[in-house]
Amino acid sequence: MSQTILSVKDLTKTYHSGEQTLTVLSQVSFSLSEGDSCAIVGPSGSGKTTLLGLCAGLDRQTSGSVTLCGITIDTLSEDERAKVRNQFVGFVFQNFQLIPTLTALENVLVPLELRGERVNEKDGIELLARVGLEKRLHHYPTQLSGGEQQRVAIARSFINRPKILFADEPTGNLDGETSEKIESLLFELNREAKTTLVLVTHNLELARKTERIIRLKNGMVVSDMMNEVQETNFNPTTAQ
Amino acid sequence: MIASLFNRWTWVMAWRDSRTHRKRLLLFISSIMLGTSALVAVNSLGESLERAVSTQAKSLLGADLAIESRQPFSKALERAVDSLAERAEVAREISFGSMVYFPKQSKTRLSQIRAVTGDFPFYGAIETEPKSAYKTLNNGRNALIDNTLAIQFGVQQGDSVKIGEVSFLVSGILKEVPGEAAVASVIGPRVYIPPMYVDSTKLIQVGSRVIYKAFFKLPSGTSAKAVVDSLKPLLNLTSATATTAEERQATLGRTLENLYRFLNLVGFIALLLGSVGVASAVNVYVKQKLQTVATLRCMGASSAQAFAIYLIQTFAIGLIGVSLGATIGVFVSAFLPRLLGDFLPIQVEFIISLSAIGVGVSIGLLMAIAFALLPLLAVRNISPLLVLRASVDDEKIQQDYLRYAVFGLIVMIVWFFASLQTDSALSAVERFKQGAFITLGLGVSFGLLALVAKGTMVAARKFFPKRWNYVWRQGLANLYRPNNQTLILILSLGFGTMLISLMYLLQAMLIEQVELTSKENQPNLVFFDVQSDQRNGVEELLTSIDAPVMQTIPIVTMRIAAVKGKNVAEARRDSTVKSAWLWEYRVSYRDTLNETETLIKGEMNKPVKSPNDSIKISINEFLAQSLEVDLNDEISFDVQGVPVKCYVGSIRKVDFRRIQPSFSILFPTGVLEDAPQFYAVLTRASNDEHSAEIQQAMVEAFPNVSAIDLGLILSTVDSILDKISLVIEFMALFSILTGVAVLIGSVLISRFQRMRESVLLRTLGAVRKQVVFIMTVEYLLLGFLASLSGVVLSAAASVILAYTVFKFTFAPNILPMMAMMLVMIALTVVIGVQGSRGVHSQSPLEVLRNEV
Repeated sequence: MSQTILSVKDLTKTYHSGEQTLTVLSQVSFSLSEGDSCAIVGPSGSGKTTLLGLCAGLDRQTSGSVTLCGITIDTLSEDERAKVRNQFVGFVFQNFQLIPTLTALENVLVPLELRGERVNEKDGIELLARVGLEKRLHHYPTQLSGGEQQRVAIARSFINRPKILFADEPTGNLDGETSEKIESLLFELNREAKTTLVLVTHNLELARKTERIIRLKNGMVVSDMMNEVQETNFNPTTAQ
Repeated sequence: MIASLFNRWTWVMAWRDSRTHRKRLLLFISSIMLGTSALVAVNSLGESLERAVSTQAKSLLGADLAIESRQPFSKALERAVDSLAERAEVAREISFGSMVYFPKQSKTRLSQIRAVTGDFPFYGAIETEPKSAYKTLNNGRNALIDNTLAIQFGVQQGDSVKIGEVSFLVSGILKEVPGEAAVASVIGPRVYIPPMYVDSTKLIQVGSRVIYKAFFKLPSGTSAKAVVDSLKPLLNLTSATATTAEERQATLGRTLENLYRFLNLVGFIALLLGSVGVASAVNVYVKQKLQTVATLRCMGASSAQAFAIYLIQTFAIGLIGVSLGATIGVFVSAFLPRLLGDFLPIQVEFIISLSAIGVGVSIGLLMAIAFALLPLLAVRNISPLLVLRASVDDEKIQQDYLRYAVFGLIVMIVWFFASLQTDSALSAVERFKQGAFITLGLGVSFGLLALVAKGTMVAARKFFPKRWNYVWRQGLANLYRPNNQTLILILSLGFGTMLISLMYLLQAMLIEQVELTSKENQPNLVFFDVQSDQRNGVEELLTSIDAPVMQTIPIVTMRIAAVKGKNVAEARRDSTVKSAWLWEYRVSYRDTLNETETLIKGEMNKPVKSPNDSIKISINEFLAQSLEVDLNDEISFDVQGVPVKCYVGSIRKVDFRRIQPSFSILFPTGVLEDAPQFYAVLTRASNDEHSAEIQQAMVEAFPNVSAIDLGLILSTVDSILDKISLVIEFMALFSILTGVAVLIGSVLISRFQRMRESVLLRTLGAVRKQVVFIMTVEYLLLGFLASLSGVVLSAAASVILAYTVFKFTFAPNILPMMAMMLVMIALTVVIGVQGSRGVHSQSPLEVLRNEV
C-alpha cells in the first residue's frame, strides 16, 4: 500500500473584517498518496489558492488539520514548517517567483543550500539541462523569457527531490504553445520522480491531465473525482 | 538568530542578493556618512585640543604660578613674594582699563593697559610685529597695541597714542599673548606700555580698577601647588588669589572639552538625522525584497536566515558609509582648528586621531544598525504566503515587541551619548540627568516634526481637494500614499532648518537686547572714574558739546567687615568664607528705585536723618543669596577704614543688561555723602560721530575718565556672536547636508518605485511636463512644510528661551526666516525634480521590461 503524503481533514479558513466573518474554505477533507496527481479547480474566489497555501504550510487554518509526509503541521512554528517545506515540498508558481538577484543556476540550488549541505553544482546543471536550459545557467531572471523562467522554477522545484509538488497556475502567465511544453515537462518530471502533484488551475484541460480533480465552489468541495490521466509526449530539448 | 549570522550560506546569499541592487543600497551610505564625518572631525579636534593643552600647559599662564589682587599687595604678601624671589624668577604686571586716544585718527577706545616688569612670559612668547617689539618695549616711551585696535583705526607702527597724560610711540602691533584667545582682544584690546610710565599717565586714582599680578618661574622640582598651599592663609587675608599652570590647564581643558562636546552633540544630531534616513532607505529596500524573502521562506529559509541576510547587507553598507565618513572627517578635522582659531588660547595642530576615527565609526555603525533594525525586523515576519497573494495581513508586524526594544535601544544610545557630552566636572548622576534633558529635547523636537508630518498626511487625505487640477491632486496625494517621503524629509530638513534658524534668532535676540538701550532716550554713553574734583568740569564739558547730563551717580568703595555678627577675618580663618564676603563693593546711595530695579522684599531706603537712626540698605537678590542674608539681618562694612553697621531693609531684583551703572548695594541718603567717592556720569550721544566727538573731548580734558559706549558694545557683541554662530552654523551645516543627502537618497530610492507609476501615467497619455509638475508639487509641499516646521519650531524655541533664560519677550523677525524658508524650498524642489529626471526620460517599454 502506498504511503499517504498529504492528508487534509475538515480544513476551514475564515477571515474577520470588522464584525463580519468571511469563510473562504469550509470543512475540506481529502488525502493524496505517493505519486498521485490532483488538480484543484474552481472559479475565482472559490478558495483554491487558500487551500494550496494551507496544504503547503504557508498559512494557518482556522480549524481542521493538515498532515504532510506524516507530520502534522498544524502546531508547528513558522520556522518548523519552513524546514518541512525544505525537506518534502516543491513549488511552481504562476509568476515564477525566481529570486531576481540570483542566476538561473543559483536559483535552482537555493533549496539545497538552505539545508546547509555541501551543494554539488552538477545536480543543478543537470536539472537545468533536463529542462533545456544548459546554456542559460548564468543568466539572471530578467534575461530569460517567461517560459524559460518557469522552466528554471520547475528545475528548482525538483532539486530537493520533493515528496510533493504544489503548482499554482503554472502556465497562467504563458502563451498556449509554451504552456503545453511546460505542462509536459512538469508531468514528465513528476512521473520520473514519483512526486505527488497538487495543481491549482482554472484550466480544465490542464486539470484533466491529473488523476484526480477536486472542484471547489464558495470554499467547499463540490466534487472530488478520479480522472483518466492523459499521456503527453515531450522532448525537453526542443522546448523554448 | 545568532547562528544564522555565522552561517556561510547567509553571507553568500547576502552577497548574491545585493548584486543587482547594490546601487540602491549605496544610497543610504551618504545618510550616515556626514554624521560620522562630523563625529570623527569633532573627536579629532577634541584630541588635538587635549594634546595642545597638555603640551602648551605652562605657556597658558606664561609662568608656573601667578598671584593676583585687585589692590596693591599687602606688606605681608610683598614679603612672601620677596622670599619666593630668592629661589624663583619673578615678574610683575599691573593692568587697568583706560581710554586710549589715537591723535592721528582722532579716535578713542576703552582698552586694557598693561605694564610688565621682569621677564614675563617665562614660557611661550608674546608675539608682535616687528618681532623684537616686546623685548625693546621698555627702551623708550613705547606702546604695543593690540591687532584689533590697529585694524579698527588703521594704526601703524610709528603712530602715536595717548594714554592718560602721556603720549607713546606705537612701536609694534600685538599679535598673540600666551594663554589668551584672540577673541579676548575684541572685548578688551590690550595695550602694553613700559612700567616706568604708569604713574605719569595719572590714571590710577580713587576707584580705578587696577589688577596687580606677580608671576613666578619656580625652580625645577618645586611644586607650585605646595607653594600655593603655604601661601593660602596669607592670600585669604589679603583677598588675593593664586593660580598654578596646572590649574589653568585643568580649567582650560574643561572649558575646551565642553566646547568640543557641544560641537560633538551638534554632529551627533546630524548622525541621528542620517540614521533616520537609513531607517527610511532600509524600509523601502525591505519592501522591495518582500517577494524574494517570501520565496526563500517557501523554500525553507528560516525567519532568522532571511533576517540575517539583510542585517549583513546593512552592516556591510553601514561599514562602507562610516568608513567614507571617517575619511571625510579626517579632512574636516584639519579645517576645524582654523575655524575655531579665535576662541582658542592655544595653537592647535592637526592630527589624525585613530581613537577619534574608532569612536566615530563605532557610533556611526551602531546608530545605523539600530535604526536599520526597525524596518529590518519586519523581514522576520514576512509570510511565505506572499508568493501566492499580493498582500498579507501585517497584524504580526504591528505587534512585534522587538521593535519597542529597538526603540528603547536607540533612546539609550542617544541618552548615553548625550550624557557623555555634558560637563565632565559634574557628577555621573547629574550628567545622566542633563543627558536625559537633551534626549528629551531632541525627542520633543523630533516628535513635533513627526507630528507635523503625520498631521500633514492625515490632513491631506482627509481634506483632499477633489476639485483641484489633476497634477496638483496627484502631487498632494504623493504626500500620504504608501512609501511616501513626508516623514523622513520633514524630520531631516525640518531639524536642519530649525538649528540654523535658531542660531540666527539667538544672535538677533542678544543683539536686540543691547540695542534696546539705544531706544527711548536711554543713556548710551557712560563715563566712569570721574573724581570728585572733576565732576563739575565733566558735566560742563558735556553740556558744552550738546550731550545732556542725564544722571551723575556717586560711587563709594567699601568691603564687608561682618555678616550677621560673624567677622570676615574670623570666617577667613575657619575657611567658611564665601567669595562674596571678600569682594570690594562699589556702592551708591539713593532712596528711590530706578527703572531697572524691582523691589522683591521690604521697603526701599529712607533717608538717615540722625546718627542714631539705623541704616537700612537695599541689596540685590543674588547678593542676598550669596551672603545668606534676609530682611533685617546685620551687615557691617569697612568704608575705607570707617566701620558702618547696617541692616538689610529691602531686597531688589536688578536688570544688569541696561547700559548704566547697576549696584548690588544701595545705601540710603544721609550716610555716605562725606565718604571719599567718585562718579559715573550718564549721557546720550545723538549718533556715532557725536559719541566719538564727546569721547575725544573727554579724553583730552580728563584722561583718567573712561567711557563705555553702546555702539562699541553692540559691535563687540555682534562680532563675537558672528564668530560663535559661524562655528555653530558650520556644524549645523552637517545637519542640513545630511538632510540633503537623505533627500537625494529618498528621491533616488523612490525613483525605482515611481518608475512604474510614471511609466503608467505616460502610457496613459501624460506628457513629460505633467509628470515633472506632479513631482514639483510634491517637493514644493515637502520643502514648504519642512522649512516652515523648522522655522516655527526655532521661533518657538527662541521665544521660550527669551522668556525663561533671558527674561524678556522676543518677537522674531519674520523676513529673514521667510528667506531661509525660500532657500530650503528651492533646494528641495531642485534636488527632488533633478533626482527624478531619469524617471521620465526612459521609455515606458524599457522600464516595464527591466523592472522585476
